Amino acid sequence: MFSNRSFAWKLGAALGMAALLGVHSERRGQSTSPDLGRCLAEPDRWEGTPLRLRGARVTESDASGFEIDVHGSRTRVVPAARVATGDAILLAGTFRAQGPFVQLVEFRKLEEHGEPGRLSVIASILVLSGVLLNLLRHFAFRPGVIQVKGVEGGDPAGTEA
Amino acid sequence: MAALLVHFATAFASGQALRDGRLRAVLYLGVCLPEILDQGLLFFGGASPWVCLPVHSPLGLLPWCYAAALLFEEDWRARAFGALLAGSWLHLLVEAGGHSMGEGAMAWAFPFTMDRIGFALYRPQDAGTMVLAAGVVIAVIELGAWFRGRSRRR
Repeated sequence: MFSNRSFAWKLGAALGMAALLGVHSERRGQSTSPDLGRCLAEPDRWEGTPLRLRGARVTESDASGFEIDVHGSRTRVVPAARVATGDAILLAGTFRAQGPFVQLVEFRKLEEHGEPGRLSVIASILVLSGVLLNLLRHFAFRPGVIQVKGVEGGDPAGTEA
Repeated sequence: MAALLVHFATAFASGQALRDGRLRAVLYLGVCLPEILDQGLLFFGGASPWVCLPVHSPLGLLPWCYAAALLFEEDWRARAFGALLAGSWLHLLVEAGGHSMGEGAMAWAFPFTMDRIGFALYRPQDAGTMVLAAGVVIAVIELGAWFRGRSRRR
């Protein structure tokens, strides 16, 4: 299973399997919980569908509700909530064909909790850089053979982090 | 979504049980792998959130970990696969503890079901506290190792 025999086939099969799982997830996910664009295109079909909208941006807000833009698809959300124009939110709601609009169940402002706040992104990049540098301390990458080899005289005793 | 530092701290703490520093290095990579794949597919690949779902599921991570393990030298692949998978699953365990607006954070049995589970043990508001706690855990472990090394040298 881990030998060099049929290396390219094994690597191709693993990546192919990963891609197939992605396609399968997309198909099943869109059939049960489609994106906002599909709901707006066929409102009657998706009446009552629970939605979870990631990366919605508030474009307008008033006393009765607010409007959001999700990757170019715009809709109204009711009832009103504590949001302001320009807020990025994660929203859970139910799609309603009569309007159409989204009935708000729960929402969360993304920047409010630093998600994905600039500081959080910078910290994550630093952590990832540290992890990769630590890996390079123990392994040498040789793209020519698409293999990574343990560094001779490395740290098999594991005294280093 | 917990910060990457929190995920790293869980791997750093559990990795202390491993004697081989190289294996620990792969475990650390494993704990970051679901996030690298998720963000990579989402922002650089332009994929929809549904396409990204398998990289936050135990079975969906299998082919990715296997493919990554194949990039190691032959003798190391089985160990690398184990460490990558253990790290990745540790990541999922921490994510499953999060509050994700009633939907659940982890597709636990994908591709057989799209159902997700979540334990709602912490909320996004707790992110700052968790990062602080992660920093303390790492510092305590490092200090412990430093004191042990110092007493050994005496």
